[in-house]
Amino acid sequence: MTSLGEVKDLSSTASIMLKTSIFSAWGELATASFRQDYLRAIVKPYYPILCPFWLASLREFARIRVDPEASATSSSATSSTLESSYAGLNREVALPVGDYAFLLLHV
Amino acid sequence: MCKQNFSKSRDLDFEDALLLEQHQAAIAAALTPAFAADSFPEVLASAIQVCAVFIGCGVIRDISKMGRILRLLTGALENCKGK
Repeated sequence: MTSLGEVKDLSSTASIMLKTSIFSAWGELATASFRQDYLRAIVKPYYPILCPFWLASLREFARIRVDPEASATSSSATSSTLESSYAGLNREVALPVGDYAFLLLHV
Repeated sequence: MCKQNFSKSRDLDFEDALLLEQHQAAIAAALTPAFAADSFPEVLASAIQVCAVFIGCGVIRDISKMGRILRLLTGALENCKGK
């Protein structure tokens, strides 16, 4: 993601931060939909898009958190563009961005 | 935090309406600059969170009335698709 709205030329770090924010925001809505019926109609159509992103985000967060050395030098084939976006990010960059947001992805 | 704390507050002038519902347009207008070309990613990320809080707090339950704020959120997600 190189742009969002009228904001152009996003760096890789900014792109990941924004994606994390977007996925966690939708995660909050999905969680709230269990209490608020009207939210189900909003979130449900986007589950096919959200679920792969949520899984990829959680997978990468777990990998960075558990083994930052492996995530920084990972050269294994990745199954999603999101995972490839995280490749090379070190612990100091990714963890502050994702620490709170990722914990909200508990749908 | 304001939205969460005041989401159930009634409008003093219109008892049948929620306070924040009357200010939806102002809230959407306040969020719009966050998506402008000269905005910062941190501000943009915060604005996305604010959009989600507003949608989820229950102030407006009719999807057709959520307007720009919901479009900002769905547009952001669509932007992530395939990129």
